[in-house]
Amino acid sequence: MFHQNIRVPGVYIFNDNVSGTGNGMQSAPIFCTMSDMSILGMNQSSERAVVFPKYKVIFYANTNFGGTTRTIDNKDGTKCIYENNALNGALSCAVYYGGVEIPNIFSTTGT
Amino acid sequence: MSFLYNNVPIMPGAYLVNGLSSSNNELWQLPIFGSVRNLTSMGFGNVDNFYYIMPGYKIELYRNSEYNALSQTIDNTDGTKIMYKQIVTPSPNPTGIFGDDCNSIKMFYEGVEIANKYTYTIYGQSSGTPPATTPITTLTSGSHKLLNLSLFPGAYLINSPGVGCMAIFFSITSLNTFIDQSGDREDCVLVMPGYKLILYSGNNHTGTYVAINNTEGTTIIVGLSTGVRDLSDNVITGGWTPNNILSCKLFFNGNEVIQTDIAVTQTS
Repeated sequence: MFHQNIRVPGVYIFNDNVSGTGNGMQSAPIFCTMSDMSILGMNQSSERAVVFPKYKVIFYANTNFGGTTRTIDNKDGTKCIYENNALNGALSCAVYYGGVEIPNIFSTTGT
Repeated sequence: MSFLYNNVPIMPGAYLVNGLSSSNNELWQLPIFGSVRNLTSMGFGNVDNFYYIMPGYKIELYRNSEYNALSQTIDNTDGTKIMYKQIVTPSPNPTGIFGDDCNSIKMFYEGVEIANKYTYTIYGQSSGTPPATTPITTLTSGSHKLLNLSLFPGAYLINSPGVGCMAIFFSITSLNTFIDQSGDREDCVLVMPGYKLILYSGNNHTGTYVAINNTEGTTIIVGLSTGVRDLSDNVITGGWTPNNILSCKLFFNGNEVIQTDIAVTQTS
């Protein structure tokens, strides 16, 4: 697949109805390992996830890979994994393709 | 440019983000595939606070619709990483032109504008059985994998104003179950070329429906309900009643994309 091409994410997260406010129906792609997901406006907002084949993601409750974790491992899968148990938010994550971590590829300058 | 279908980009070149760090538990993002002449009709007018832009792309932000009043440019044409940029209000004299003030966007890939890739159309709701679409090709479980269908959302449900945009990879029998979404839902949708989306007012694909067929399309359909404004900023009449769907069906080339064909459910 395409993890070398950073325009194709291996993981999508979904956000549910926020405390009955109607502020839901949300999703966002996860391209790579991120030590602070809030830099992209992802503030403890992952409640569901889809993980593509060959990918693994570990969600952490705190920034810099701290706190409790939730792992979704699809390294050997042939279909997507739809994780439907509430992830209870995350502030950092580690993403792997074929067992190899995809390093952070975000930058304020693009280089 | 890679990842084209019918000459339309099927992966975004940038994402618009609303409300960075204003609170927890939000994920207010809109994928941008090409130039957008009116963000309000797409449910995200004047709500931008942050962008991230893929390598090779440049975007120009305009205060008004139809590319009037350029406010700033974010250029990642020569980038090798994904550029992210917060649109901040400068201190100590905010002028109001930074953030929450963009209503159209021009997008360029390697200097060439990606223009005219969206078609805005009003869709009403109907009752009875939705009309079938004759399959162009036959999909099997193997061909789903071959076509990488699971990698690219076929449609997006947009909650206005600027609240969210949910990627749809397959048919969903209950949005309440899938994403615990029991309140405010969709106001408009994006349907990618090759796909057809049917929205249902009831669970398990029952009730009234809204059918948006882009199976043979060469643009991305922006399906409008009465929950957004038209391109002239007028109240829409004749559109479906928004925030009223409970399930949906997704088709590629006339074949339903069934969840269990491309995804396994895990509750860890």
